Amino acid sequence: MRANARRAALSACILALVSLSASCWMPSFDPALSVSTWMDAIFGDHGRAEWRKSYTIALAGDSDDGFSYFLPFRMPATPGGYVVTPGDGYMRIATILMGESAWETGKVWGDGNPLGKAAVVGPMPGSSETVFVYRDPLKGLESLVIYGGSVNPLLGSALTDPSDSRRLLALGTWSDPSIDPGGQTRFVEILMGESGDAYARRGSISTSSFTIDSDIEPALNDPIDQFPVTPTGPGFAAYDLATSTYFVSPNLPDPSLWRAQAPGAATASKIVDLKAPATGMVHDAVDKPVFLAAGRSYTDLYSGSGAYLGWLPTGSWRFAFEYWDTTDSTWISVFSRFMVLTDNKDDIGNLAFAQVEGVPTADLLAFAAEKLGN
Amino acid sequence: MRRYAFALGLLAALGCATLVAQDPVSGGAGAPSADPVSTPTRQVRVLVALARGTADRESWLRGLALALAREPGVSGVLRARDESAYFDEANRQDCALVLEIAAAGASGSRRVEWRYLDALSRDVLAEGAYEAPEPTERDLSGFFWDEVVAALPAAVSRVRYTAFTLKGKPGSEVSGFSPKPLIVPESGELEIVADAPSTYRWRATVPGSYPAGGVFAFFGTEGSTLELPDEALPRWSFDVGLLMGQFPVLRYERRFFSDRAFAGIELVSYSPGILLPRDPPPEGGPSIFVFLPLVQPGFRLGARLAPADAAFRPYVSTGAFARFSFPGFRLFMLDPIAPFGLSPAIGVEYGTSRKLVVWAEAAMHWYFGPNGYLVAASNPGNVFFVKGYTAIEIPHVRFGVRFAP
Repeated sequence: MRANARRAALSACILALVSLSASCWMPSFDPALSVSTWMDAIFGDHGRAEWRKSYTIALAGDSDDGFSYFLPFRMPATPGGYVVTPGDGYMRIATILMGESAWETGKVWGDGNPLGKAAVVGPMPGSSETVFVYRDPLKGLESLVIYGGSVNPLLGSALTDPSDSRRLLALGTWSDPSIDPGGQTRFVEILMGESGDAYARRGSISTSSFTIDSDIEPALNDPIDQFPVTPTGPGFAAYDLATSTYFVSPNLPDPSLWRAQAPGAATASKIVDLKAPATGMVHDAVDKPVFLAAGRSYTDLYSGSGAYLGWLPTGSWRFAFEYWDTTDSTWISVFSRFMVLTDNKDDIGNLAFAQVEGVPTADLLAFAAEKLGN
Repeated sequence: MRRYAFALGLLAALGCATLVAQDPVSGGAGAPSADPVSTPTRQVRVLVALARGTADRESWLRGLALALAREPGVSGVLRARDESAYFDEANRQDCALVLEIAAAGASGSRRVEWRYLDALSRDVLAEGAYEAPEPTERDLSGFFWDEVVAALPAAVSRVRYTAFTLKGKPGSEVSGFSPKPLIVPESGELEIVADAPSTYRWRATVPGSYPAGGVFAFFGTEGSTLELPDEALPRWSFDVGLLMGQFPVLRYERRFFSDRAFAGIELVSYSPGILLPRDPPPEGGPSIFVFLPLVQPGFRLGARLAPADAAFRPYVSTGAFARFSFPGFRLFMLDPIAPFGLSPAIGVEYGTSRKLVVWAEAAMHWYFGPNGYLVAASNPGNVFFVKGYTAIEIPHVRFGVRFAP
């Protein structure tokens, strides 16, 4: 009996070794994609038809690393967007879609190298042709004019000045309904100096030249509350116009939401610990900011005071931006979902789907609030 | 003309022939019996011993063998190799009957003397002699042996009657002792008439028990018994295995139809699992363990294609499963992408013992859901067929150990 057991164990071990040698198999299961189907219901019930788009994309080459996402253009009348592939320390704008034709051949703009290491890519509001990129090492903001194929470095960022020892703590976009056109996206960067001083800078974006204004509201290059944290890379920042408050989610091991206000007379205060780093800001019915903290499967919602407002089963749906609909005078939250179907490693390319949905933020928050008890 | 002369001679010779022993059934010397003689039910092997000096020995033996082999009571005809110790040879070769042939004479005539003897007791069962013209090769393969052949049934019927007892579970089917398999009756005992000595390669399939087989040498000993082993088949088994060497598989199966069919339940858990990435993680990088929030309970039916006592037993099976997902433990749900599926498989198990086998199988997942393309997008490159509501995954391998107490 003992010999039999030994034989069985030996056979099992041989099989185990053979099998372990190729143990990189995964089932056809993506929890994020599965969870995201729960959002399909609310998009179906409350989604805005003008935002609802889907694209079939032929990705060129081996452009799927599982982290690519679709960045829709910011105007519902302009269908299309970008497929952004974060590479090995780079952001690569792999594909630009215009229109809703069934197939668009993917275009790879180099290998991302023209931009260097990038950490944040944001769409250029009001433009279907430009994105802006923050890249590392700390060179500040740049605008990338896709069709021009050129990179226009921003000179306005203090970080581009070698003599400036400030480092970027956070960078983000925020929507400002008070600016014409409505829902104009602006950006904000939070800088930290070696001495601990902190500055916040807000910029607007010129849609006429498709570049970020190089002189971003210098008057707002104001000190704000100091942050007792050491940035390890750019995190998320947003600006609430109504209360003149900066909200920051630094790139730290323990995600959190911080508040800072100019002038910097005190220390920035941590509002609340988050379940995931903040990734977006939307507005509630009375225009107060609500922060989205997107994890792998769920997005948790927090108020500006740190109150937990519920959660959304977003999964693969990625919050893109919030849009001020001047027709209905309401905020629209726009999400995108990107799915790659094949896994070709050669020049054949891969087949991908991209979907875009826009839903009134109020409906979104109501849906999230339903989850409070769960 | 020559043929008629031979026939007349043969009739005369038959008149002279004497049966030195009578058929026990008929009970009377020379009495016409109803018939075990003409239609023997037993079959024996006959060893032919042709006396030295017979002219054209090869032709005689060939013709005689042909004539005997046509008889229903003969299962085989062998030639004696040893002219002096052919009884021993007959016993070694399982020949119950020995036929001695001696031929003498010259100048166109032959006198043939023949004797049937019991190989075991060496009793003479029948004998006779006849004279006939010198046969041609054609004669030797035909009517020349008519007298010898005609005496065969009686001789066969007088071969010492021997039997052994087969004991086993009622309903057991035993092959190897007769052209058709025997069934053990309700009494559990079956008497098998057999020539002695004889050797049998037998095999028995016993209801609810492992099949048995072996070689049985029967020497005619009184009270010989062959007892069929009765080792009960397992009624259930429990599997522990791995899917692709990564994810645990647990199974409980009930076995039916003499272990040829099975049905059971199965649980595949994708949490935890082992994942060795193609590019090894840096030191202090992520663990080799992966936790996918997915469990896959199911049931399956299958059939084993080899008997229970075979070392390697291939099998086929098909199963149905459901997928339950619990991402972040906030939701517990039927996976909305692929809630159900089928899982056909082919495999083989290797028994290191009756209770412990190692199994390996190739299986594939055939998913059903609201949109097959969502299944494809769940793991790009992992499916090879997508259509409508279905998607079929590239086959995978499972292996493990099966305990059958």
